[in-house]
Amino acid sequence: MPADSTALLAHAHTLGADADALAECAVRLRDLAARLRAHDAAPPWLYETMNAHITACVVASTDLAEAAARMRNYADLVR
Amino acid sequence: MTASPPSPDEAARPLRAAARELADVAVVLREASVHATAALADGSVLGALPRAPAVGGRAHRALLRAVTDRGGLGHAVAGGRLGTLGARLGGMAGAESLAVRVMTTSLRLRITAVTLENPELAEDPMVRRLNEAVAADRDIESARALCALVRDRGAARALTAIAPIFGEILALRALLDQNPLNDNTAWLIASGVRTASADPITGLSNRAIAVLDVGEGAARRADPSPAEAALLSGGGSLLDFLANLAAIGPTGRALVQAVRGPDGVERYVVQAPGMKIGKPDDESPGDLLGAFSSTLLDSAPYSRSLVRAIDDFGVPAGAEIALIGHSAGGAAIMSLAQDPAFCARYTVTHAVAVGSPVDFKRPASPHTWVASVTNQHDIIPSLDGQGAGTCFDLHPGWYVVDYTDPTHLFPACHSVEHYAANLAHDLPEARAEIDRNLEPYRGRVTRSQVYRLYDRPPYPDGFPFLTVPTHQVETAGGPVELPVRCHEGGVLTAYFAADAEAAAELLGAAAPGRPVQVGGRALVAIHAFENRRTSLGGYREVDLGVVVHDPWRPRPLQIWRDIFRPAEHRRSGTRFVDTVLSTDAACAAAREIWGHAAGTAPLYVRVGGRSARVAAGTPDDVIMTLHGPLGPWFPTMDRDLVVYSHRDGTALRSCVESWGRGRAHPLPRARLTAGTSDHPLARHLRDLGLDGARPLLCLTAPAHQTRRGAGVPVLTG
Repeated sequence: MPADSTALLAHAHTLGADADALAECAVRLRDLAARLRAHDAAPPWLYETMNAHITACVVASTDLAEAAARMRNYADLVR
Repeated sequence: MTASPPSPDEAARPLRAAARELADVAVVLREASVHATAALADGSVLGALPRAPAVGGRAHRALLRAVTDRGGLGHAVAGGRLGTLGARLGGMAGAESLAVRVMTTSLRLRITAVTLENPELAEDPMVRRLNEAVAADRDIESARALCALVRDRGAARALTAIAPIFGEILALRALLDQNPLNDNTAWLIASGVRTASADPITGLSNRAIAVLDVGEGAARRADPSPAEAALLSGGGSLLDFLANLAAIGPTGRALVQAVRGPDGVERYVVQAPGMKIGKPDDESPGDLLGAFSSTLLDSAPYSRSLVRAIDDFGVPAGAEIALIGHSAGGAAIMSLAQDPAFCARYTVTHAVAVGSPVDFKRPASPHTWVASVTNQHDIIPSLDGQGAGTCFDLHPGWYVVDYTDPTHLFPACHSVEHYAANLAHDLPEARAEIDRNLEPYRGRVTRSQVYRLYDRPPYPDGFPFLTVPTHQVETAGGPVELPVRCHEGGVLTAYFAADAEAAAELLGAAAPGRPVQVGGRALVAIHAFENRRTSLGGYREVDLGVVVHDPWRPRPLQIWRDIFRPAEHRRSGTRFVDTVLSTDAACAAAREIWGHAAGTAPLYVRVGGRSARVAAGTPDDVIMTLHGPLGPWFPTMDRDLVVYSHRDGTALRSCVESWGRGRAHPLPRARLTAGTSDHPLARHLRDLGLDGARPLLCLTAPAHQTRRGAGVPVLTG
């Protein structure tokens, strides 16, 4: 397998793993937001901020997943 | 029955946990950003484009979108050269990444948690205004809020007010401002990964400053003053050790003690005080630079000099040692505790750091019991980036006392005395717990030694100028070592134009007896020495001398060439007519060794600054004064002095050799006053017409060393 293809596949693998990690982050943040909602001392600005973070994590995960898929296609073609 | 509301600590705990989780998420986001940037910048990815341009281009666009999507990772170019450059450009443009936004939320939650525990932060409208402005990334409003706080409270009270959230505010500012240089240190503070390696405001590297503090470390035995010795404690409790640290103070010294424990075993306690007050970088490892290096580096001159002190004390290999430090001393002792070589040689049983930035120090041995005591309003412990607001459990095995007290004005709350008072009166349980752990050291102190610490081995006293062969001569005032060596002193020389006939009459027939003349008037000098530390002890001296020609071949036309020669080649000199000294020993030496017409009298000589301050005699019997501004000056080398004198009918030539920086004052405005006293010096000044005279020229050397050997008989006939 040419070196270029190996590097592309490695990047694709890392990007895919990061996409999964970010999806997991979104779940963690959602759980955290739910926990804090029950906490009296949580500041009022927190929920809106957390929601924005959760959405951004989901979008970022999607972006990375797409980049990983396209990188995988790219690696297949240059093999 | 209704449940009681949670305590502030309990209410803050979930917020800290949430802040910790958010910080973890931010770290994951940043790692993903770094990976995507690395893929984007990888040469092999670009290199393969010609082989699959359409698919490759789409892959590139997808990557680019992933690291720039405002709705996703944001401006997430990070890591590597391209990432660093892109991040800096983005930072300057105010573009934020999702990782930074999540970390910002973490910091804001940390501040909320600290505010719950310190309600005065929320009650204080000025702190609240600053807090809100920083969190909302409003730069101008933040600066205004801080200025208003400082203006209203003064710098000390302003710092005190924000101390518990100091690190978080700095990190927030650094993450959100447009300065890309401080982003990394802000990230370190916020993520709790490592000690803050740069100033979070400017981004100036602390490590770059810390590495300037070089030296292998050295320690020399030093006797405490009687007052200090009286304050040194003979016990082995925490308060005893803190009392010792207060007794020796932040003076660049440390204390090593041997203690016989309750089991009869001799153990050792090393006590290291805080930063030395004074110059930021002097020969002490405990100076400001040393405080930086002790905090940031694993090994620094402060900790190395403590090793030298322990070696000198004769602590046997394998012996048990407790290390106690305050402020920078706490960081230094923790550096020792984390040094595997030191811990292999000795058994470090305890390390107690009080008011010290030690969050990122780790003891080499798991058996070392570590205690950290910090006041939440003391900023110094948070200089490594982690303060009261930290959400990370950085040292689960330590005994941590992080407290607040009602009288917490910084910097007073940082002093070892304040910590000792808090532990004595406000924190009895913490004190008891630390003392319980220090039980093996609770016994009689059998030996104590104070050490002065150095960055590197100090030069021998007076080296090299004063390291000369000496011999002893007996005088009525006791034995005198020649040459007489002055280690610390200063001199003021004032030249006057005096009545030539009176000067010639004063010199008499004995040679050298021809005064040097300026415009038909004799050149006369007043030399005022402030000899602060000499081989004769400290003393002051005032001399009246007439500048005289070469005793053998007076050359009036070439006199200035001769006067500016080095002393060893100079033939002209100053013939001392009167000498007044402040001590009997110096007076006996002046009379018997050099044959001066010397006597003792109260003298005041102050050299340095911009004015002359010389006085001889008492208020009721003033001999002379020389007071007033010295005027502008230019730098010059301190000049050696050739002195002629007479002893037992023989003319002697001696040299006062000097080493130091001098100043020439060409337009002095000081004025000489001859007193009404019947003292010979007062009489001679009046005879010379110098009462009320202004000097032609003044030379000063505020800090110099001198040596003066015996006079050499010279034949004048």
